[in-house]
Amino acid sequence: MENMAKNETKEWMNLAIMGIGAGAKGTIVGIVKNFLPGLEIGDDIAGIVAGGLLYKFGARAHPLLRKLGAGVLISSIGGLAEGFIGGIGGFFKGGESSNTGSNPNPNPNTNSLAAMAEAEARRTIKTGVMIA
Amino acid sequence: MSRTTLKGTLKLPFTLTLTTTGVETADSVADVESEIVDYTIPRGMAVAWRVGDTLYLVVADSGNSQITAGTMRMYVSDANKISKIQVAEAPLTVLDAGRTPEDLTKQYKLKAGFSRSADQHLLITIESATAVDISQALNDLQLSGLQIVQV
Repeated sequence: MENMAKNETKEWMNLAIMGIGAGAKGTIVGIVKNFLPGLEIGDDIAGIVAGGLLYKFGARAHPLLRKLGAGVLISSIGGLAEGFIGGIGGFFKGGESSNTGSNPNPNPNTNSLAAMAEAEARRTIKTGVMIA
Repeated sequence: MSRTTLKGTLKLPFTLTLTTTGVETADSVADVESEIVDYTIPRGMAVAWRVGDTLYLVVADSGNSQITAGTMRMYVSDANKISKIQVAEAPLTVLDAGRTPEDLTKQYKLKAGFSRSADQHLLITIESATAVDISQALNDLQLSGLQIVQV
């Protein structure tokens, strides 16, 4: 009985550490990108790589690092999935893009930036159209 | 104490100058339409120029004197500069207004909107009897617009 209680406490502790890892994703990605300034990948992808490496090899340095890595990994996968889920939400709302779907503050890609710029340029045109 | 990370897009005022990151400048050749400004839009941003955005341009010759006779043309181009589409044309005489508050109303305003995104180009050319020496202190460019940046 005592063992069961201990195991449960350990489980919750593990979850808490993973939560800390998820919260630390931004910091960890920042550190990784700081070391590799030319890296042209998104934060979520960098988080998956960093989290994956921590999960796989972190235990060699400290057992907690493995759990921390798991948190970073889960958070990054969540970040990636956020866009897709937002897109599905937008689809059901009638063709809105993922930028206006379930996520009000998204991380848009280059195409959506271009589309926003074009919309801004187009918005002010009163007579004639000259969009290149 | 929690730290909030801002993630998304910001729309901010933008002024293109000769020293803006991504701007490459070059001298012009007399009587030949020559590119004096080649602005490559940086990664992670796009720029919209709308009807009514203002352009202030002063170009100087090798003696640092203002060139007033000539034509300025503005083009948008793709990332590889294969296609070039003209979006504005004006005589140099109308482009130096706006230096003082009194002549702000005379500033040249864009007649049509256009936009460019990462790696694409905005080109400004000059065709004048006197060659532009872009290293002279008198040269000045201020093109207002709207930048959309990813943060």
